Amino acid sequence: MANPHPEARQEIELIKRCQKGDREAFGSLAETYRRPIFSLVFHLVHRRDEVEDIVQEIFIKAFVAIRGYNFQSSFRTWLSRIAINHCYDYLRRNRVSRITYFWQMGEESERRIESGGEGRKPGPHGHEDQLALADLVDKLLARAPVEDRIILTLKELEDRSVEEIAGISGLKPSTVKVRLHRARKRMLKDYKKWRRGG
Amino acid sequence: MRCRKVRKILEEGSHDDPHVQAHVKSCPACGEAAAGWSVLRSGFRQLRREEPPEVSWGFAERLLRRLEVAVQRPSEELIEMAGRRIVYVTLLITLLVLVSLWAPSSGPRGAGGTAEVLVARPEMAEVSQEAPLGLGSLALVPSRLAGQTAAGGQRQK
Ligand SMILES: [Zn+2]
Repeated sequence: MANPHPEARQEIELIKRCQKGDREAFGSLAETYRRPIFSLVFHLVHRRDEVEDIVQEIFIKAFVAIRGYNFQSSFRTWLSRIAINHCYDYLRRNRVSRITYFWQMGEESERRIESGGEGRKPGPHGHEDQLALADLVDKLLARAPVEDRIILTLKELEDRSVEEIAGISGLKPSTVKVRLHRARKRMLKDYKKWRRGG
Repeated sequence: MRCRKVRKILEEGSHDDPHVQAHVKSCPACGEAAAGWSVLRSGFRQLRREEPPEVSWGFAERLLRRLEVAVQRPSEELIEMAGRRIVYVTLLITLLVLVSLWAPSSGPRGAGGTAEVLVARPEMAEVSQEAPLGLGSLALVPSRLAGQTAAGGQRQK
């Protein structure tokens, strides 16, 4: 708890004030963490029109729950856990409407992905190819089980370390590795299924 | 190099290893996996580059306003919940009294009163334990994921 950095000490002070119900102090905390939470939510739900609302709901939940924060993990990890929990519920609720089928992809996109995939080398693809690939991965993520989507987003899009993901999810790092491996394998399988016209 | 090891290296994103490249060229199955990972990694890389939307003007003010409402709501909900429970307990007591009056007596009448108190107490205790806004479920995230992982982890072995 004894942290020499003035910023960290300031944050502890802010959190303690929030725990006493100080909303202004929470506003300052929200300001600090707004960007990373926006990014996390955007990567998870990938709906521009809904990100801000979801982020607000996450901050409200965090404020109501902040008395239970015991400084055991970093505030960023604790907040990310609330965000993940909230997005998990959101994604589960909206899963039916988010299920996407490959045939929704344009023929041109399919051709671009096909040519990219056959290239076997991880070399750079053209810009439009890249967009088609992003579209494909987005669709694969939308089709994946929500747990896979979350762990893949944290690792591949948010660039969080296995240890960080373990801290957020409350899992052991070894378990995170197993889950990540399984999620990646399932995604590759789903991609191959599409390539074979499934 | 064995296929299993090659696949693991490919999955973790290291395509450059010369041993892996040599294997991939000679093994069609690993070649297909390498091509697949190449596509998926490029897709992820592109998605990572997409910027989240800009925060709209007045975000902080709106949040502070909503916090005010959220802080008031749990106490209102608690009162409402307690009120609902009082109604249930009252109905239960009435029912018990009616039954004890109507049924042929097989013991002292006062026993019904004791039972009512025993029924009423845990009900009231529950009200105070209820987390506001359903935040009790927050703790579910680790266990939710942990439960599934534990099961999956065993399957992997
Ligand atoms: Zn092989």
